[in-house]
Amino acid sequence: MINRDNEIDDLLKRNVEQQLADFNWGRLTKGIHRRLASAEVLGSSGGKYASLLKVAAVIAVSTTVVFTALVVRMSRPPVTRFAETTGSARVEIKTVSAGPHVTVDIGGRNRKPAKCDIKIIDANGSRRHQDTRAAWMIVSRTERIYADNGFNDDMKDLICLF
Amino acid sequence: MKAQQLGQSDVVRLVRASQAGEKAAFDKLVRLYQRQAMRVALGILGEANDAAEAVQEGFVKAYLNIRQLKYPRRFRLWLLKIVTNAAVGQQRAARRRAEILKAVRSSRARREVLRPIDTEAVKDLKRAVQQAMVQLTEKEAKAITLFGLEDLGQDEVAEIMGCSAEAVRWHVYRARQKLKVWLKEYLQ
Repeated sequence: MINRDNEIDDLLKRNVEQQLADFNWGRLTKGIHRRLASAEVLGSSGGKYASLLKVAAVIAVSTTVVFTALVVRMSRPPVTRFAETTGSARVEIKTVSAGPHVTVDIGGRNRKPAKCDIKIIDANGSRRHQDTRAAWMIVSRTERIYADNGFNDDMKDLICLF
Repeated sequence: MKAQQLGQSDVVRLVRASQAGEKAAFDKLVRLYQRQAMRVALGILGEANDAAEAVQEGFVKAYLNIRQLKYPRRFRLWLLKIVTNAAVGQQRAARRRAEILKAVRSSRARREVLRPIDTEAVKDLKRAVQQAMVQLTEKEAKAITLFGLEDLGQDEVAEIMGCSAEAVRWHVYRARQKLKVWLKEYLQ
């Protein structure tokens, strides 16, 4: 046990008593209450801000999720019939002069013939369509109808846009 | 209102009411313990205005964190711990300021001899104690204030400081040894 009767302890007590002799306790009490009131206001406004922040965070997260989903969705290539179906397709241009409608008979069971718009572009010209997300169909077998309508099979490409 | 005028059960009731958000109850606790808090802060800092600042800071921290107090009957020690830490924090800041000043002075006058206490500049007990307390370690300042000045028990001081009773004894002893040298001209 340490000796309590110590001259240093007495000196420290004397110093404190001297300073507190004329100390304004009322001022200290007011100061504490003022600080407590400020802390209370900050705490309550902090609570309001906290709820607002929560709402803002939920909105931000939701927006981010939706935006990310959209970006991912847009960055994916569109699913085409050709992506779904492996095999071959038969494209038949009924009458070129009548319009761009053709019948596409996609190989595979339970597949109905589909119609699509086609555009015949010049192989020597600018291929601006190459950056479009289209399914390319390569004509592997030349039908007679091309020749009948004066198309040169070697000089034309066929684009099917689904 | 003094703490002795209220029983332990009254204090516990006030603490529980404060934890439930009753500000009037905390105001009573402020009036109950502000004198003891002030004595402790003043013991560490040695200056009344600084001590009042630390006490205010301590009560605000106690108010904001009172729900975390598990044992209401230990409110007094818990509060004194907060106030002590606030005072030591201020002392630390004062020490940093003093070091900066010292560095500036030494750069201006390199021949100046640094002494633990500038006795020539000390005009009264207040300034002497203030300078001496700043030069104790934080643990020594806490221990001598709580044990020597405030007459708390060793176990209570140990709880406030978060150390063993043996460590408290050692810090008190070291503080007394240093203060006896630094304040010898004020000892009767």
